[in-house]
Amino acid sequence: MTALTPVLRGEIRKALATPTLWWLLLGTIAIGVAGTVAPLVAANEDAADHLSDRDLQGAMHGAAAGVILVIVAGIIGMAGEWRFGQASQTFLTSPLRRQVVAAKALVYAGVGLAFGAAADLACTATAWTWYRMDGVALPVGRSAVWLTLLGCLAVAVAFGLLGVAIGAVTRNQVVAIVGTMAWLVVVEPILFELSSSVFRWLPGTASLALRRMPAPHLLAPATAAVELIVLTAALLAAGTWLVRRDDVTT
Amino acid sequence: MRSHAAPPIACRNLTKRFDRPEPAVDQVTFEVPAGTIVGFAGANGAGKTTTMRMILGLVRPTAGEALVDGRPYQDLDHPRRMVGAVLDGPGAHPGHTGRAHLTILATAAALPHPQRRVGEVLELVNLTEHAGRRVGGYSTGMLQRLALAAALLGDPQILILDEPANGLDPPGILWMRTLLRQLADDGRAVLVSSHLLGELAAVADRILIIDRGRLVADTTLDELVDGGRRTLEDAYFELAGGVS
Repeated sequence: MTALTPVLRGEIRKALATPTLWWLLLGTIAIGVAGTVAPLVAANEDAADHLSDRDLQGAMHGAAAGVILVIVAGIIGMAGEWRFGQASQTFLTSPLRRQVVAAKALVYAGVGLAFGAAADLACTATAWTWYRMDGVALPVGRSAVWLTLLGCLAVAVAFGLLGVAIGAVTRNQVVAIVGTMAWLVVVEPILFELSSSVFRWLPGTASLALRRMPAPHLLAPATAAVELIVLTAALLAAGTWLVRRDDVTT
Repeated sequence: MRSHAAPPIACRNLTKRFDRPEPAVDQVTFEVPAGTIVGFAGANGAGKTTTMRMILGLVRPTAGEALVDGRPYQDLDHPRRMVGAVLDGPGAHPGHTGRAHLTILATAAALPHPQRRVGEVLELVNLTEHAGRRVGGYSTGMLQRLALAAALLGDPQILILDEPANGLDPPGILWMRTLLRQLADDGRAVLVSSHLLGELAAVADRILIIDRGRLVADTTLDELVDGGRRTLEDAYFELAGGVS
């Protein structure tokens, strides 16, 4: 057992005991299902047209429509320590603060994996049912389906880590959640409209590429993955440095 | 390196400056011996909490050092088994139950048999009946009992308690006094802060008085009250000044 193991176990218990996490899971699944159905309804095509790569990606990438809530979970997991005065007790138990940040990063990467897998399953079941009602079978063996689902899973894991990193940098839960939501839902889409070639590198837009959203001007999925890894690692390093440096006075 | 002769708590020239020119804690030096309850008195903002947080590694000293068993808190191998602390409530998520909160801490501290130990400390602070309730629904007194339970989880030899009587009703205060005395009689070192002088007079063997960051008294209770010829309140105002 390494020194990190008990910290990790404690953080897993902490996450599982927090009711908000389970509501966020339900929200992730519900938005994912809605994100799958919406493009199928909007397409209004013959059943056979649903089998094009573009339509399949359009439906399946919706599984990640709700993973923005994984960022919220990560932020709550990290910045929430300062909201309710948990930080003092946490660092009294585990005084090596970098271990606490590392444990939270691992836990919320796992949360992202679980949320992403649940959303992928719900999305696949929904699409399968929808296609069946149209008299065609969902071709789950096609790369347009499984690569898209894999991309959604990767985005969920990245967002879990990103949430912890943002929480560590800000250590203010409300500011972090409101700021992140506003950035991803409002600011990034506007910037992308202004200049897609420049602003496709922004993290939210890169995540659309990673989940293979069928839209022009996005990065290649592999490039988007590298960009998200570099950004998340940089933010986690900055957050860890700040958490170690600053006094805990609450 | 740990010294076996090291006092449980030792502060040497401990100083902390925040953003203001005057230090929050200014060259504070004291020790807390084993088997002793040391009362830490001072007005709000005098530097009690900052000093305690520096001992516990939560606030970085600007100068000087704070050692626990001869080492900085961060260097302790099993901090929860060495030190128990109450700081501004239990530090629990309001959505967690009391039992879940303690189990999380016991798990992260790698305590042996965490569930059994959680049950024991819940019983000790008379919270067993409410252990399954969410902390958000606890009364102030129950929150304080939960904070004490967390401090006692690791059966530590050193206790650092910041205003532990806050929110306790009179029977609760009496219970806490008895508990602190038992813990000190078992050989534990107890540093307990309060701005209630009567409360400190009832439990402490030694008294520290801090005023505007500077330690103005470090003596036995008996010496401070001059063998009973003056009250602790009189001594306090003589040393720390009048009402500001």
